[in-house]
Amino acid sequence: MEAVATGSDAELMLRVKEGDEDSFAYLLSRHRDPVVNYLYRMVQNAAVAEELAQDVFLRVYRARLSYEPSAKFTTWLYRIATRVALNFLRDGRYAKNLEPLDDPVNGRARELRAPEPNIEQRLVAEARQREIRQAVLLLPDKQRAAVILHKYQELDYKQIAETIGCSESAVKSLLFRAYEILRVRLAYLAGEGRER
Amino acid sequence: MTCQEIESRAIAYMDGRLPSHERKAMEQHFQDCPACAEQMQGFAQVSDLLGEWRDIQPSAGFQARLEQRIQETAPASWWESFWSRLLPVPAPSPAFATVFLVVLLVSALLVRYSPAPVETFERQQPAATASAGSQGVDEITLSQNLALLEDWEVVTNFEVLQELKR
Repeated sequence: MEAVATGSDAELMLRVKEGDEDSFAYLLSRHRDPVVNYLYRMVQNAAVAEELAQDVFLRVYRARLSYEPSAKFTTWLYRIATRVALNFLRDGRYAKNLEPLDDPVNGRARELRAPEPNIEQRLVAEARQREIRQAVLLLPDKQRAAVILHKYQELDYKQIAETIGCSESAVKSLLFRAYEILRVRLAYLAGEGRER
Repeated sequence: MTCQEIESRAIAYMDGRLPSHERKAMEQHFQDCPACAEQMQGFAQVSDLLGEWRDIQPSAGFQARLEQRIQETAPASWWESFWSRLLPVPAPSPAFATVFLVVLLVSALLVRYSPAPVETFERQQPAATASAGSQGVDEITLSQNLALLEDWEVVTNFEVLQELKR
């Protein structure tokens, strides 16, 4: 059941602190998909991403009694998610759980795909996504986190800094270096463009 | 503006978050520096490419699995939360714990406020003496007749003697 969310994230979390289980369900409905996708782009395995996302929300739930709205809720949430992701990436299990980039199951099967007019265009789109995923995968962990938080989660520089644990200027430097790496690696794709 | 200064502002420029005077300064630099201009154009293309990477849909069982994990790991009540901090064993039910504590408390109270133990033979002697004294009998005389004293209570209750007193 999709709960209807009312109130800000901090207000909902304070209600969870008081024992309101429905407010936790509301928060989950708001942030489940973004957190799952953040972790999916970090670890590039859909099943692992879901498992890690559950770890994140479990930690949020366990921390409810000591929650204080000293920072934005999303900053706190993604700080937990980033820590969980980085711990997983540094763990030896990471290399064993990478999805083959041409795996027809898992992530690719669950992608929210815009309808492609024909099979050839669909194959081209899938090939491009594979290249993009590979390029992001090759970024250092913190650069990858910064790019994903910036591009997909749309956190501002201050939030990214608090999430990753560095200064705002360091975030801009991380993003600059990451984008430069991606620019070089994906130059041929940018040149090819995308047929619509 | 120098190429080095461009680096610290490039992302904010791409995001449209620079103040207008800095944006203009950067655009002026791009006109003078093809390398920086090409780099900024490349950044914009990367951003577009990243946009092609679509989201995934979480599985249908995500919610149920999370709820199960919460039930398995989170204490159901303040009591279990308290117990889990004391001992790494499953908490007994609150009712059992309450009964146990009550029994413990009552036992402690009984031990603390229980009546004095049964008097020994030695303690009975002064009592017998006191009994005899309360009836007007000379204590010296009594001490000289200890054998009689042992049976004093018997003697004082002897019906025949009661008759003699009258």
